[in-house]
Amino acid sequence: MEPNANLIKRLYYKHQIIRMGSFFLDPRCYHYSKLKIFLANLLNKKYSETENSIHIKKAMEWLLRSYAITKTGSSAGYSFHNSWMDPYPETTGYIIETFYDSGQYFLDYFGDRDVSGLYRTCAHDMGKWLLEIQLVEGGFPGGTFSSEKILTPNVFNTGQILLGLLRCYSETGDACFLESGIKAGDWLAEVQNPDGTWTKYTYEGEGRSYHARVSWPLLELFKVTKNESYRDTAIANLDWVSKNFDKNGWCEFSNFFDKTTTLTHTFAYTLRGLLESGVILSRQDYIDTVTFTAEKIMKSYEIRKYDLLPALFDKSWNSVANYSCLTGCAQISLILSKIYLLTDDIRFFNTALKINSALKQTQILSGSNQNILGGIQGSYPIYGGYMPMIYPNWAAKFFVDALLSEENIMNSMGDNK
Amino acid sequence: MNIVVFGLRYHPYTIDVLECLQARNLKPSALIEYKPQYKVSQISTSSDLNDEFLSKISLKEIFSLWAIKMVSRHPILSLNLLLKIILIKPSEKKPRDFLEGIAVYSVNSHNDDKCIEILTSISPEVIVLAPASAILRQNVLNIPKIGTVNAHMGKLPEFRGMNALEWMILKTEKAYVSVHFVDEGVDTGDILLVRQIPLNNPDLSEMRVFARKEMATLIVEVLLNLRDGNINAQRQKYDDGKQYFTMHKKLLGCANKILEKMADRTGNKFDIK
Repeated sequence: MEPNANLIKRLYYKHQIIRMGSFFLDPRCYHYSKLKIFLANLLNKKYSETENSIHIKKAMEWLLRSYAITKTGSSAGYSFHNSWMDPYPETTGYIIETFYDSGQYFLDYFGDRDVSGLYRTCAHDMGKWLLEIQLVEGGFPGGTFSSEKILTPNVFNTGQILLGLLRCYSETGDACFLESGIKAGDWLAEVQNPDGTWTKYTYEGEGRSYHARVSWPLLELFKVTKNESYRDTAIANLDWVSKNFDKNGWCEFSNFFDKTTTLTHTFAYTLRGLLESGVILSRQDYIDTVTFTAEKIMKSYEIRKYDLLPALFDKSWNSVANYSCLTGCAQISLILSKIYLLTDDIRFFNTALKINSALKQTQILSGSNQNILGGIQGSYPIYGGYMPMIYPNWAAKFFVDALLSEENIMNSMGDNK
Repeated sequence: MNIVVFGLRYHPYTIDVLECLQARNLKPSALIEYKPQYKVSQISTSSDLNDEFLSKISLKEIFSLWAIKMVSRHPILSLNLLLKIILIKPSEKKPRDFLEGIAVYSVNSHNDDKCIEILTSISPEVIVLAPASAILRQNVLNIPKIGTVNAHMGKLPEFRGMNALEWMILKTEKAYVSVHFVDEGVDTGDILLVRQIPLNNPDLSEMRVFARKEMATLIVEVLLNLRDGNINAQRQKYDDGKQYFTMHKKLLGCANKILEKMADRTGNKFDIK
């Protein structure tokens, strides 16, 4: 039974026609709003773009719903086939930051204390839930959370949760968050291989470049605790990651399983981890590596006149997918904005603005189906190969992050805005 | 001087260049036109369509079946364009003598075999891009004896690529136009002339019209100097500049704000005529 299930799953992710067919074979998809999205995507009919604050508000309302559904962490997403999914500890971890940031945004720009307070409370409550599910060894469970599951700690997921815990600590001063973060950091240091990779307690069973996004939270922990073992653990990994970049800016081991391509989502994890680490450590070589690669992506986007970035690239930066991973687009946009702030090269921000515009045109801002209103699809079109027929919570999170970054930069441009 | 112009008879910049050449008694041997897939969108996306240009073209020159796509996407802009062309009084129509005595050829692309065949038979000394259908390949660039010349709405080598005028305004609050030889890169050929232009018009599209006309004037000036052997080309290094891309509308808004502020400071507009 198990091999058959795996085969069906593989075929489903490999062939678009099967994914499209699954929509029509599942009666749960027979809903006006779902059919409308399917057809709109099929015909490449985009929605209208409006002010960032409205897009942010709608996406945050969707994220709030993803939390209200579970009352624990944020649901992993809404699926056309299976409705709301179980809470996802990993993404709940970094979504905490988005709740705090957007709360601050609505307070600073609109003086909205109610919304700001609500977002802060949710972020805090999600942080408390994460404390409850921490495993005895210090790590956090991988995958979505269910009390019926056997819980195994996961390196990458623990790293992302660490970001949320540290943010809760810096916002509330509550020591329990830091204590939990230290336990997580100790566990990450303990299970690292001598060459700087993590292979145990990972989905892939071998080193991955996007573990740079585990090293970054470890450096954040080092900043708070001054414990040098966290810094050394992070540097050991980051040095391994930076060796994976080639002369063309491409990075090995930056996709989940396929070694010939890279997925924008996991590639952006790699770049963000290395960039943020470079800033914390004042390591210009890390920053330069990310900037060089980001320029390759920017040029590929601009010269080929993409609207949304394709989901997969090969080693020569050619697209090898006929769909976009919207999470990856938002993450790349955020990285381009950050590089603009570091280098003052406005071309990066220009491309970020274009990607944000294209992303905004995929978000539904009005309609009756509250489960999809304001959410961001995994793939565009919805039947693309990344999280097909699903609105993942991390897509909405990175979309909000990208728009918040754009808002801050545009406002810093002052009178010329 | 044996000159060939690449362009389109209904493109504002081609018309400017042909008129400037005529004014300085430099008659090109030929105009080689390319066939854009979307005839109307080729010019409708430009921000520098002014009434003067619209008075020089006829409706059938720019509208084709593909115009349906443009009309459905930008109905107000399309109607505005249509009305402007239709409603211009016959007495206000400008004479189209800039094409007189010039052989006009039509090709699918300036890189195709037909174009190379035409160029080989003409054997020009200079090709003027006003504009070309695509980045030219080396086998086309090898044909003219002196070289292929292009004017660029930006300061070279710093500002290469698209929307160079807007990028310069945003970053430096200055504007330049440059003339350069063309190589296989994007605005990376040897520089022939760089000239600063005044920035005291609050409207970006009017500023583009002004810069476009300056480019046409400057390119003819360079051609005269090339004929007389009075000009030295300056090699540019790749790392001396950056390639810019189409500017997002939010940044275009920022550039326009800067222009408005500068016009407020100087308190006047220049006459683009």
